[in-house]
Amino acid sequence: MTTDILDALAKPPPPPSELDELMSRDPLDLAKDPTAIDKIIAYQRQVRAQREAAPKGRGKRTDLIEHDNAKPIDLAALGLVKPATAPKPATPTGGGFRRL
Amino acid sequence: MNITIAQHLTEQEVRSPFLTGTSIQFAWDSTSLGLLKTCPRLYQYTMIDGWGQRDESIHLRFGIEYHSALQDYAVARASGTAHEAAIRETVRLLHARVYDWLPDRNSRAGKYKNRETIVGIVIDYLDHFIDDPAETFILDDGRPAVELSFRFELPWGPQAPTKSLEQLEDGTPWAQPYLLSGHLDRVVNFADSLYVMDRKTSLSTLSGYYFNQWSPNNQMTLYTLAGKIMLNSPIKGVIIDAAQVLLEKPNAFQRGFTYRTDDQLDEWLIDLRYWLHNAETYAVNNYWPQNDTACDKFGGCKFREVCSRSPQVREQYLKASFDKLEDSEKWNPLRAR
Repeated sequence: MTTDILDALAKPPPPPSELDELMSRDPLDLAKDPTAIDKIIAYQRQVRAQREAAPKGRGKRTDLIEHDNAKPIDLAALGLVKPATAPKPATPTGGGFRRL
Repeated sequence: MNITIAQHLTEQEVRSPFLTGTSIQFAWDSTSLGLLKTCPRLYQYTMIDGWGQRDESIHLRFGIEYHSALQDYAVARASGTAHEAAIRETVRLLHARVYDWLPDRNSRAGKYKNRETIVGIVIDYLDHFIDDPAETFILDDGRPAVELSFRFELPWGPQAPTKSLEQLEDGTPWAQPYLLSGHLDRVVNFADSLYVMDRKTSLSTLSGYYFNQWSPNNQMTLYTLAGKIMLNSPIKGVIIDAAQVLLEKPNAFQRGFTYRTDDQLDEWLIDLRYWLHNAETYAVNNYWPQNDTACDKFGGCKFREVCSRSPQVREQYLKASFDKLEDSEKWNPLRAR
């Protein structure tokens, strides 16, 4: 059962790792393997090195086209230029408020 | 102001922090005082009634294991053990304590705080601070100043309901003075000055915004005061030794400084008189008012859903969302770590 309102929005937890498997062993069993503690430490250091080596930030958004700043922005191509139209005469007592 | 250091914390039986048969609390720590200052109703639900939340135990357990592991490492290093061997011993002890700890990983708390992430952040921390510029202060008896429990008496005590705050100045002998207690994670020498170091684990980004929360701050002022009293040495303030638990990026570590002058400590103690007087008044009247300007602080109070209901139905909402703890399980400032 979850108790946090954010839980519903969160990504699912990552699957159990080799580190978790090592950490779940009974201490008596772990003691039989003299290298087990070293494996835990080495695993975490390896994970840390991988995370540090991973690219920082969100990376390049390939679905966007980079704009060449040397060229002017084509507003018409973006659909931002509207044809000029003559203003309609204002109706003095129409449905809106009237400025006094 | 005269302050007396109470007896060393060796007693087996944990006393109640309340005067017998009353809700008047005489033993305070930064947690209970912080609850009172934030909202008397929050204080009532937590300290008096003992309502707790399932997720809290995950955060509490994670914090306890983190502190214990770093203490194990400090003790090993102080006895002359080399870094790698000290890490190995620390991880061995940590593993033995948490191998069967199974928090619900579908909860946000359990996803970030579990046996896998605790060992990860401990190893990362110890490697990160392998050449720590902050040196652990060594006590007169040769022990490293880590996980120091403190307890000291204030020169006044609960007097409600018969006396006003002005009358408290008349030198009445107190049958039970107020006590302040707590735990200092570590005392360090940094750049020729002494500081208390307080370790924090967080899921938040360790930005300037994060560190700004510590000044002014009830806990850090109390810890500076406690450090000065317990070590009888000049303590400049507290170093916040913060660790951010991350799942996909490397765990992050940042330290920030928060300073306190003697005048600030005196002011805090003056304010404390008023706060404790208020606490007595609430207890005597058996009524702890809501501070409805604090409900949205710190990401929203955990009792907000309860307090937003009509008073007649709040008990039902409390029972539905919280567990009522036994007296022995309630937060107790007199319980040694």
